[in-house]
Amino acid sequence: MSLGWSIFVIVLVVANIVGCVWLLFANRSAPVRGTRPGEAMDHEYDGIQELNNPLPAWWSWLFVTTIVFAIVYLFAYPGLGSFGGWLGWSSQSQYDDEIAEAQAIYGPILEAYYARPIPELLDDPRAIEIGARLFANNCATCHGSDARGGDGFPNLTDDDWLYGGDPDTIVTTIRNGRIGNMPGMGPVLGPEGVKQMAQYVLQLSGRKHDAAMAAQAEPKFKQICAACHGPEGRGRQNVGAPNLTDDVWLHRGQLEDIEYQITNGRINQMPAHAQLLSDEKIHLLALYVSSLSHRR
Amino acid sequence: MPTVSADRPGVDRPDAPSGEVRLYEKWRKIYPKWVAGRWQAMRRVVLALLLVVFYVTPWLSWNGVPLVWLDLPHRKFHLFGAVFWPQEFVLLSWLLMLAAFSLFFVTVFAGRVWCGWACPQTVWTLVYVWLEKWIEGDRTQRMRLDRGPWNLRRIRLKALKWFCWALLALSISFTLVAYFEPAREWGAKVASLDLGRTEWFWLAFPALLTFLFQGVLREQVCFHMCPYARFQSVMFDRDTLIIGYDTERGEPRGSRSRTTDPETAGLGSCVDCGLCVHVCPTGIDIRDGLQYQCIACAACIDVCDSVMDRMGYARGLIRYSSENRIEKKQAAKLRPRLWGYGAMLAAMAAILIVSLWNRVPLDIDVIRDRNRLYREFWDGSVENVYTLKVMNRETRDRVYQIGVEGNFPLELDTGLASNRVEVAAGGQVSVPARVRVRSWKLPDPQQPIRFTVTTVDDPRVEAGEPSRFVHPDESS
Repeated sequence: MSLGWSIFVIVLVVANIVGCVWLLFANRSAPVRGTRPGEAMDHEYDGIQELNNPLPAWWSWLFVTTIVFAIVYLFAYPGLGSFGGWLGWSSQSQYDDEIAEAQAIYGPILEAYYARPIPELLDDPRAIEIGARLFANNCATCHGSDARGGDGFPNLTDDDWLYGGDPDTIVTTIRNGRIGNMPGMGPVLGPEGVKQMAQYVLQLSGRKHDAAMAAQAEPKFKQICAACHGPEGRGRQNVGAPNLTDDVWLHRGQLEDIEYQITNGRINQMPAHAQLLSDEKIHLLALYVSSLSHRR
Repeated sequence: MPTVSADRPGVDRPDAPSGEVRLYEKWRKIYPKWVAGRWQAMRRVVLALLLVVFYVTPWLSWNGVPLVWLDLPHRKFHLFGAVFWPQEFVLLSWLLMLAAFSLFFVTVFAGRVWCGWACPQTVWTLVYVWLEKWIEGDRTQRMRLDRGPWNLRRIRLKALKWFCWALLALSISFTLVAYFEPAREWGAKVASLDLGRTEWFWLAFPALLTFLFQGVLREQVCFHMCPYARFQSVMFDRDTLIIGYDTERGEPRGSRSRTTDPETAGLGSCVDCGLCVHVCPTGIDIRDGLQYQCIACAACIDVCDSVMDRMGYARGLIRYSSENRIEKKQAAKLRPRLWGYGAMLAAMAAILIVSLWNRVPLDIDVIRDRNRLYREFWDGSVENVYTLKVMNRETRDRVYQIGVEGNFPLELDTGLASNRVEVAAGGQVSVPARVRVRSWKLPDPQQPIRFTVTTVDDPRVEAGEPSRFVHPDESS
């Protein structure tokens, strides 16, 4: 805060403390005409009188103690304007201390797991439990608390991987996030072409389809779509293009949904977690995700 | 009702002071005289029993578990063989209400018996005062010591007293902590002085407090800190049992020889010896009538009875009675207030006993996945995902059967064999659960369902928790 405001605060604080001290000592005695301690005083409200009973002196000394405490406190901690206090406390430093304390406790545990490769940790139930708790706190909001995903959020319990299911790739996915980008093919194919392509896609997954329309779309698929999805439609993990032959539909699998996707494309994003989670935690998360699909 | 008008001090009331008056008074130390008598004997037995219970209980165990152990870090409260979890907090509220109503009931009936006979402040103060008497001497000796100079003797006696008080204070704080950490382990730690910062604090801080409140401040706590002393005036009526001075019998007071006949001399039974004031731990004169400071310890009764015995008069000039009985010679009576509080007390006791009897040592909490309302499959079925927390509050491992009920066909999938989960004794397990509906014609997008968890070996022990099932709106 600026010097002016700082001085304003200091003046107010000091004035209040001085005021309290004055108030306390000014009220230690009072003119009480003609009344001894214990007697009724000379006023009455609706028949209720006030007796002149003195308070114990140690109460006023208690008050003095609080004033002394306040003065010491104001030098030790922030309170007098922009003066930071002799102890150098701030809420930021308290936060940093708490983080450091937590790190001292949990750091060695997490580092011990980080040193071991994920395939080895698959046999360690305690490591998987830690991964499960981290998952519940960080991933379950999108992927579901049972990790089976949903509309637009991949199912992590199956063996179907957009970008690859080996532990290193999972770590990369969590760290850097992913942006899946399919361009819309509506203008390229035209409405009829989209309908035919949708039938071909159904055929790829072995679903009920119109064979004639699918046959018409096949050459266009190998010319346009295979660039990302591969010549047989088995997908390319280096661009994150899904496998179209596995009957797994991330963005709903009804005919109208497939036609919509072909027409408009899709951008599907997973946020990057490298800034949010330490490498040790990501290691354990990748372990947990591996355990969901690879565990036998 | 006397109203004091603006009279002129020195003129209308020649002895009244004028000018300034100090609004705070210096604290005068009270030196209660030690007294023996039937009430004090009874009281000391009760107080000794309470002290024994306080000191011994943390050392008692049942089945290897301490009888009373408030395990805060693990949030498990062991009381006489049962384990209470924070989820059962409502039992504590019944207990507190029961305590409040018994307090009201006892206060209306018997006045301040709690203060003089059971309150920890009184019990511990008595021990501190007894130590002071043992070291510094009886009332006269103590007063003489404090009025005298700070010579070597005084320093020695005070130092010894403070040292004994410190040991007493530490024994109290040690025992207090022993209710929260098993006594033997805590004792071993203290004996080897192997204590962390927090442990040093909890050994020193309560000791400091008891030293201050029971050793130094004593009656100041009762006068100025304890709310019970003040709301007496609401609870008492003229039939409440109090300690009262029979003014009619005692007045006019005055000293006389044993051979004088009080009737002829125009004197009441009170010989104005002042002993009732000397023995009072709160320093009041009971002959002034009922006062808020009186803790009903009956020291004045015992000492007055002993004087009456020596004078050959009947006992009971000061006695446990009620205002009506003393002043109007009425008989003791039960009245509507007592019946009212008694009924409330009985009701609260019944609620507590029934709650304890019906305790089920099994809990289930249901947390529905919120970010996603439902999960659709392209075959038309709809799934909701939940996290179930199953808590086993028993002292042995158990296997539980999880189920779900609703007014439409549901499938439950927890990923566990037969939807059974094993939970260790005193443990808690998180189970992700999926509830799936294949085909439905339900009018409302939200349907109430209920998860149940039943002990496989003992189907009587079961619990349930309602939740919702959400699916797409029919109209969309």
